[in-house]
Amino acid sequence: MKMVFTTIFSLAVLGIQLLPAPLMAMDTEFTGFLETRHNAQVKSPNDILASETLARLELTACQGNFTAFGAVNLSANHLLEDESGIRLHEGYLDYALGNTTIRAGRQIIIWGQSDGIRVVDNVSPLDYSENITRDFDEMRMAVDALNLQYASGWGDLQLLWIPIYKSGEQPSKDSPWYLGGYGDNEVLPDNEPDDPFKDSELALRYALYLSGMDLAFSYFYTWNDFPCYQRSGTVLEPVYDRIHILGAEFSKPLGEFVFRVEAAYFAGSLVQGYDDDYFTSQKDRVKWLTGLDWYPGNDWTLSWQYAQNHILNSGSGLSENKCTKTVTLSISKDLFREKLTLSAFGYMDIDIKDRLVRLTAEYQFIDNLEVFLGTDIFAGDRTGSYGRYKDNTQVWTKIKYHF
Amino acid sequence: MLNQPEKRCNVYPLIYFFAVCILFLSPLVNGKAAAAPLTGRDIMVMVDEAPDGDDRRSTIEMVLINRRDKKRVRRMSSFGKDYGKDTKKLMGFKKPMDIKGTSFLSWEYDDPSRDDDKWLYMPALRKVRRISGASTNDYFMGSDFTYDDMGDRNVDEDEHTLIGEETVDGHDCWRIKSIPKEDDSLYDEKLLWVSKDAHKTIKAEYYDAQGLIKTYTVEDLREHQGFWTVFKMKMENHREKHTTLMTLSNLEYNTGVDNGFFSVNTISRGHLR
Repeated sequence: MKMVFTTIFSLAVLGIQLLPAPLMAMDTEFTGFLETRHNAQVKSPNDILASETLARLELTACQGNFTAFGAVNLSANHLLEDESGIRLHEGYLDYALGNTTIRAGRQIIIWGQSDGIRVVDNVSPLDYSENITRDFDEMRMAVDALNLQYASGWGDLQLLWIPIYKSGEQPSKDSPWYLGGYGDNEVLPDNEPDDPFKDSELALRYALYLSGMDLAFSYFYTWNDFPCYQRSGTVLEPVYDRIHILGAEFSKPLGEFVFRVEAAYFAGSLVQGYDDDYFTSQKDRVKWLTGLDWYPGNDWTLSWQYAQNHILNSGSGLSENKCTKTVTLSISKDLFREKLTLSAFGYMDIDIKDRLVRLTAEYQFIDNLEVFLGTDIFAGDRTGSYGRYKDNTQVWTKIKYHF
Repeated sequence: MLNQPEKRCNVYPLIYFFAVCILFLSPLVNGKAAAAPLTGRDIMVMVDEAPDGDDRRSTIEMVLINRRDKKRVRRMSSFGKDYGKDTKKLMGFKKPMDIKGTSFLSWEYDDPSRDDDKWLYMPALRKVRRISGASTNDYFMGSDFTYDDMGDRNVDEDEHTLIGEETVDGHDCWRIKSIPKEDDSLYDEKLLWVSKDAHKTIKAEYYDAQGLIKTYTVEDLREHQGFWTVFKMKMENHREKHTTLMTLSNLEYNTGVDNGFFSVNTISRGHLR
């Protein structure tokens, strides 16, 4: 069903883009980008870890209070050919009336104040098919949702209804980022929640943007993004379960600094366990993050974050640590009138001391044409989230043309 | 009964006397005599308070020209509305395409001790980010204009001295020397030429300890919808041999834009028209 919907919508967006402008009474705009990116392993045998050419075609059409937006990805994956193809990235219709906006369709929804770490930002799942080495914006996956926003002098209210469940993406078995599955165990096919009413997800967010501070509170009634597995006879059965997530966000500018905090309470979060066999366990958890951004001027931006992920009343045999502590540091500098941007972003697990450091140089040769060079350095203990990929430390290049 | 109207008529000379007294005394009540000479600060307050409607919208195009005459173009939609001496501004970037859709909202306060509130919407991240309002010395979009140059600086952050009068491009001007009161500016000194008619700065020179850094000139100043308006201006950076031409078009004053427009909700929709 999803496939049919995606195909029809993608063809419709492409068809509209091919229509000559005079035939279209609406105020339309055709934009997008073309990029090619290639990643190579640093250590022998210097395998190609990612290689893709992607065209994103975007169409925006406005008529009165309506705005339609469609974005289609035409992808040629040179490493994993099965992942080539046409996909609807986003496609929605906006209706704005006074202070109210309704957005219906496939859309990316991002909450929260943090960079690169998810605390309250749980609506759009992530594509981990290349771990976290893709740009954050490219890892986001759109959800099919009805999104109602009401803005008033007292704050912005957002209500979401997501009738179609969307799980996150893991690396496929052919991918150099695949870490192995569940040994020799036979795994039943995914039985994702699929009833658009009974299994739908609901969310509510209320945000206040005040002079000198921002505040937001949210509630999300959702499912776990990825299945956990439990023994069912001779096979492993994927399990999905409901989670209630309560979130709060706060940010405040202090001179050259912006101070940020966000926290979320997950009631009934499903955790994978392995004792003598695979099992699942429902645990409450608390995630929180504090961060400080510094804008010292002269085109420097520095940012620091500290985050904790606590599983409450954790028992033995869980695949996650009871408490994970992560620190991130980000430094960015624009040079030559914003033609060259040098940046570094690093994650470190404080207990395991494994880390990922991404160094990037972005140069704008001419308006709309950018060339990127970068490296992703994984280091530390192989039991850690980053250290386990230390063989995949890579150098990469990307050329991106916007139109 | 017949005498009563006469009694009432006798009050008029008294009212006239008090009215004349108030008229003559009022400059003293304000702390200065009517004929007192203008100071540099008075002139810069006039520039700051020059009428420009209650709100305004325009398209701004910046052409960045480097020493090899290569050009880069930035285009944006700009909206502004006054709330007393404070201003709310919203900018939506149209060009270049890699930043198209980026929007910037600022609530700018006249009180120099109060930091502006600023938010940035990045379309790639689909996220509104609060950013610091303190660093106004950064260059805007790689141009030769800093945020301060574009009017973010409060009049009383500089000491202004009227140092003469001159004619520039046919405009009678006051010549003002402005020196920052604190060490928070890129410049040690600014020389400003302010049009006596338009109350607009039509030329400026920016200096630091090494000498002249930049020259600002107005190339198109005229009245539009009853307000003096700078339609085209140029900033030349002499050290870097870099120039920025800024042009305004589609300008409208007093559009009656709703207060709710200058909100985070507007920029977070991502399709600013």
